[in-house]
Amino acid sequence: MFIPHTKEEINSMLKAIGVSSIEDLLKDIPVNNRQFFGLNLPKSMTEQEVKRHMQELASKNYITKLSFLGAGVYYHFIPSIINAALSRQELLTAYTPYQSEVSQGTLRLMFDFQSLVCSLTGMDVSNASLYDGASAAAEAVNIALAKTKRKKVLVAKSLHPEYKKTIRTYTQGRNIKIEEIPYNERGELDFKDLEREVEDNVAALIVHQPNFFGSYELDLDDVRGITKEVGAFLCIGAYPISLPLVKSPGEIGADITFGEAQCLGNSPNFGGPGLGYIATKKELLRLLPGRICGRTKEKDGKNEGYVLTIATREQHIRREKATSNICSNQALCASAAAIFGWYMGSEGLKKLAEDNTLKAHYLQKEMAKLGFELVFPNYFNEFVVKSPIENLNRKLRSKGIIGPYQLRKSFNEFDKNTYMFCVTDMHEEKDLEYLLEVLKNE
Amino acid sequence: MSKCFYGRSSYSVREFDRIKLEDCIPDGVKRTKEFKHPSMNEAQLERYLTELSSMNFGVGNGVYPLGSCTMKHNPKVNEEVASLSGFTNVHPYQYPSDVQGTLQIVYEMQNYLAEITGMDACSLQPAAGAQGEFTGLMMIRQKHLRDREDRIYVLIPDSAHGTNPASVAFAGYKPIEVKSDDRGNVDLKDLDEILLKHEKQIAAMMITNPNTLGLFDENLVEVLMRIHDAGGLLFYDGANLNATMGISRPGKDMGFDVLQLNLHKTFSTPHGGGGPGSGPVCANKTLEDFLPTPVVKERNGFYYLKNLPDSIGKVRSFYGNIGVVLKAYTYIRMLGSKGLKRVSETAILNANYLMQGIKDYYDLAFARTCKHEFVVSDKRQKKFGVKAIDIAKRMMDYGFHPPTIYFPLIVPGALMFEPTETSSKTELDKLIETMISIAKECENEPEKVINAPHNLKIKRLDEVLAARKPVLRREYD
Repeated sequence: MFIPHTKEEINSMLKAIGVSSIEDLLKDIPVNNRQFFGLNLPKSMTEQEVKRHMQELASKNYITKLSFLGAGVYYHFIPSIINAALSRQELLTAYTPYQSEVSQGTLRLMFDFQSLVCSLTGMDVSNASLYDGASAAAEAVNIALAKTKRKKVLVAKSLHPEYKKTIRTYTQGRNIKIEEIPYNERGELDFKDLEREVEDNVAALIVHQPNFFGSYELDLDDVRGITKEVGAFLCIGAYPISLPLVKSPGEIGADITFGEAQCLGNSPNFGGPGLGYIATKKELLRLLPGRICGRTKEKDGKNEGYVLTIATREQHIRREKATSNICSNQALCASAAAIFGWYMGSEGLKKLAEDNTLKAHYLQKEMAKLGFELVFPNYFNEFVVKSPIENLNRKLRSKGIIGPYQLRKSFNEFDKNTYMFCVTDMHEEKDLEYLLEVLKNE
Repeated sequence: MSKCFYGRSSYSVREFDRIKLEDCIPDGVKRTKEFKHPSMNEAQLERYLTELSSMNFGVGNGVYPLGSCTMKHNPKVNEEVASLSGFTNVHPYQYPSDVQGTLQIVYEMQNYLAEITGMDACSLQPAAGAQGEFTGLMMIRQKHLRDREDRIYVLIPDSAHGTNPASVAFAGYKPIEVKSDDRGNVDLKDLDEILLKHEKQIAAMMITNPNTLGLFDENLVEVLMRIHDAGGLLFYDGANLNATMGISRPGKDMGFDVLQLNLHKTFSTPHGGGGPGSGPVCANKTLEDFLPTPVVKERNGFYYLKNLPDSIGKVRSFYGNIGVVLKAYTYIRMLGSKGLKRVSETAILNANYLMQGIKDYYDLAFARTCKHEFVVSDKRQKKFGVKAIDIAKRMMDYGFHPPTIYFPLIVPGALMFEPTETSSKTELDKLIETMISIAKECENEPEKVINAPHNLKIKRLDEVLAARKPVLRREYD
């Protein structure tokens, strides 16, 4: 279908090679390794047919602006210019910018992404993206393990369950002990427990701001004190949308920050592709995994240009001694985030963060009047409540609303009526009023 | 552009005055340092992005014969269907009944990929090839753990892609390199020596076939048998699958136990400047229990997520790069069995045609029929002072993207060409003409090649300076 050759051209090519058929080019494949019948796949489709088929499948998915799900994947404003720009084939179909002279577009956007991550998180250096927040958390653990050579890692129990699972998979087979630090009644890291567990055999503490429950950690400065004393790495994950308002990992003095930046200009896409980011203090630059873009000059010119750099960390140079095995990054998603950063600027990102938190707090306060008890007091745009209504999500769904995340799905210390509502800038006032109306009438 | 702009954003938000901001942010978390980031109004941003795209070479600009990357044409229909809001706006935690469209695609794709590779089961979870390699190795580890076997080594041919040994180390194994013989196959003598020394400690061997030289291993049956006899398992790096579809399935025809695929290579999804990719893993009965969890199952026409009890766990959040999977799915539905076979056959035809056209001018690493890619080196050009990198840069002046250079490591000064099946005969003829032209320039005017590129918006960049004095972010005033 996407093969331009005519029969005549194929014959002339075979002749030039000196064979009579394509089969001749497969002669060196041992007969025992050959497949001589067709693959059992559905019949081929025309472009019209496949478009129709995909439209039918897409319409089997239910989508609505009235969704209150968050839990690591978020609906935020996506300026139209992002898709317009990234539909250009020069940016969309190019590969890794190894040949910098023909990849300045991609490289410049990677540099812009790194700059955005650094200004949001307050850290010194960022890479050009990782696969998602979960693998970024695992890579942060990796850096700490490599640098400290210690064998124990502390992970906040309130870290995203998918991140915790991923960290465990990544550290299997290397004799690493993972210990979870519980959260207290305010949804924050249990300080007493932390003090007890932090010893000089701990490589890192992994914590997120806000955490999986949407709750703020109020004492990260003190946490830093504890980890610094024993030389353990403080790794603070962050929700990029909140960072214009919230004290950044850099301000707190974190060694590493990591997280999920899908919220910056990328659609949910059923959870993938994501956009992991990782950034560190400058001393850790040589341990950063993945691609890094740097600015430089032409060798004998005056023009500035961008190149992939410090590649001696990476797999294609260091092979088994590489800081990670990662090869491709999430360049297109990172480009979307970079463009989002340019479009919004700090003034826009601040407004966006404010809009999120104002709407969430408004909704929560109104819901409290309807008997929804707030479980954890301090939050950004996601809050945990006890619902007075049984089977909440089924009832909401019957009114066309995609209800909140049921915490019991991954934390069985909560009862089945404890939920986490997420409110974003994408909710208009009328959406919140509609939800309140529906809840009132249940 | 080193000037920074502030306060020019096009963004506007409707004021929400039902609550005060002070009531929302506790003192303990407020920022103490001002957050600054530049902005551009939409008009200037469009001009900026247009300029950036003019400095990028995509598959749509010309032939992009980057070996090992399979830079085939990315069908435009892929983009159109993947951007349907029914697909882009679903959340991974919605009720299964609300995402039957996507779940059906994941389920069917699991089956298609297993069928194409001759395996029994598939997971779409890994985000890229490297993550897929790691996943396969962890599955092998889990199997040996369950069988109470302590195996610490993984064998890798010396021609392997860097992600292979990196993934091996990441998975907690020790890599052992196996030499290639003078036909480009795995050296059986070397393999036997290693097996003699370490037999019961060998967990697996990782092989790409055809290998990174573009050659189908003539001793494949022997190699696999020896590893299996030693109690090891076989991992297939699916980066070169474009040469095999409908011709030789890695599972049932070649004999591998587990593999990873690269949807952004073989299955036409766009590379995006370096990602996102997608690295599904397929396994036979020996290893299918250990696939990452969850997978999608079907019962009575209903699609749902199922946790695998013996799984290695998760290698990333949620279920996979679904946005990428959609495009590969569309491609497979359009091509069908015959179409995919034609893809592989034509990829092989194009590579051999290109090789035939330039082999009298460039030193061919191995004088054998190649599959979808082949390797030449700068050996002949070196005596004029020209290196592989110079040849690559000169190709850009002629409107071609360079091939992969300096890889595989076993061929010094390597240039790996993979034209893919979507390059036309006319384009290949032009490329052959170009390579011959450059070869002549190397002889008669080497300076032209050594100082290339000349015709681009930018000249060769100082990579040494970039590494010595790293500037990795914009500095703000």
